[in-house]
Amino acid sequence: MMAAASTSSSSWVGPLWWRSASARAADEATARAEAERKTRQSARIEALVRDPDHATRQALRLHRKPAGPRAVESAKYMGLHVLATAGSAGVALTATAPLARATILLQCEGLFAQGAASAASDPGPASASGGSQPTSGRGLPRAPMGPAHGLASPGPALGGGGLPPAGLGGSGRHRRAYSPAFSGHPAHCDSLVPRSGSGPYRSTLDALFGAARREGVAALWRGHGAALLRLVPEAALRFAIQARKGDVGEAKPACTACALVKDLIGKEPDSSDPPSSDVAPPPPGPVSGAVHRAGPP
Amino acid sequence: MLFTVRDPPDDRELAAADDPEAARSAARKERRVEAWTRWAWAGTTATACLAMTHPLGVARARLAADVTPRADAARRLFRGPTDALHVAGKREGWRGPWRGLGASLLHLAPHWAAQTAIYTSLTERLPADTADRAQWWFPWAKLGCAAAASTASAAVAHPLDTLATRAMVAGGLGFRELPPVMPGGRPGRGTLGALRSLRVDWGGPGVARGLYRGFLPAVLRAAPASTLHLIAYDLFRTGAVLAAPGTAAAI
Repeated sequence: MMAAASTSSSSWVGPLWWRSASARAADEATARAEAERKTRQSARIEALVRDPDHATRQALRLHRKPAGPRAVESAKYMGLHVLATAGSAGVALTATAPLARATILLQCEGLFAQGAASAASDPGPASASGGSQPTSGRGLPRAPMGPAHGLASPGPALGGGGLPPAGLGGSGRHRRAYSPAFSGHPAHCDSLVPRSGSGPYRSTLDALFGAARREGVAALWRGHGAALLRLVPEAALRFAIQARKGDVGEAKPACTACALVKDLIGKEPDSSDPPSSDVAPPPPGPVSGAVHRAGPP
Repeated sequence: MLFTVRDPPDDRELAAADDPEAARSAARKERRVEAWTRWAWAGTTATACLAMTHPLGVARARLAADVTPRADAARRLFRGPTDALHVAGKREGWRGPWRGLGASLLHLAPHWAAQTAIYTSLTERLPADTADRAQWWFPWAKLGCAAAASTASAAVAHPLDTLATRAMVAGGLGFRELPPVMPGGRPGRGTLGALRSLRVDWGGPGVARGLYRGFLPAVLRAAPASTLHLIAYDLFRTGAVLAAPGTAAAI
């Protein structure tokens, strides 16, 4: 208390009696503030002792991130977030892209109807209207907007693609036209593709190795570029939406790499950071750690 | 001093000192409400992200469904994602790049809900005290929870994923239109059209089989993908923190 009083009056220059009165007033004010603080502290400690959940609530409040705009304003934060989110998802997607392609191949079985190759040499009745269609540089018919009935089709011999003309529609014709056993593509007609009653692909391995054999190993990653491209705007959008709410950084993965780095360099990777929900020491009190289970990942 | 005192007690804390039991139940309720709010908010975020980036999903599905052989490489349907989107816009109008959006959203709902719910319920069963969290197996247990949640959600939502993929691909350059939902009608669209195409392709009883085409690779890739994702995320985060200290809170 004396230290506080001397500090408060140390810069005063004036008569001694005035100075001592001022110091007395300052002392009294400081003493009052100190007494109030002690009262509050003791009430708080009583509350802590009587209410076991107090520590959790306090920790929840202290660990809550500051309001979002701070993060939104910083392009650096956004860049780091996008890099970490999109980069890690990209690694996972790249490693498992062949399986994803096999999934799509199996799911879309029977939809591929690019029969232009055989239509050029063997135009069937169904492709009669496709003769005058504009053709792209790759020999593919590019029909004008509208229903794609004009797609060149290999004809009935291959169970060609496209819908039957209006008026001829019927479940029987549809069943033939959409039979997955005859997708109409030359790749499905060669000897590499085993025929079975159910479709051109007998199994997952068949789809994987068949695609690798016909289209090359690199084709297992076909379409992967679009999946990677998608990650960037998605991560940026997620950041923009969640940072506004102040939730960015709430979902933390298992800290495998953090533990590794800690072991390697012998200290915490970043001790200057505010405690996050995952790496922070749990709050004191009998309910330690409950704060980490407060929400979804 | 046992505790670090930061704030004076507010009215709620003083009331808690009078009635600890009521305060405890209020705190529990507050936590539950907060968890549900965050859950709903994260779901909204996922929906918005999916909807806004849907055209790239369409491009990805159409590129991957193209089975033009290597010998015919010059006749591939699309040169890349942007070409696929360009062609879709030219041929099918503005709706082209957004084909199958409804089916995708329909797929997202159970997938995301199952993944989040399973992950949360599994991680809640993990020990929460400091000593256990510091054990070597703790991160691996968490990775296991994530892998289990991903696998289960992929399995649960796979039929809807099949419908979404078919709805996205059908009608694009080189792919068939979906059969009309009503006999003799216009080409089918979206989830119902995709379902009808499965019925036409596989026959009435075979629809279930058609819905589960590609189930095995989809389920097999879920666990390694989620594990790799989390480990890579952790590495990226650690790298960012080492490169620029003080930014961990942003990631």
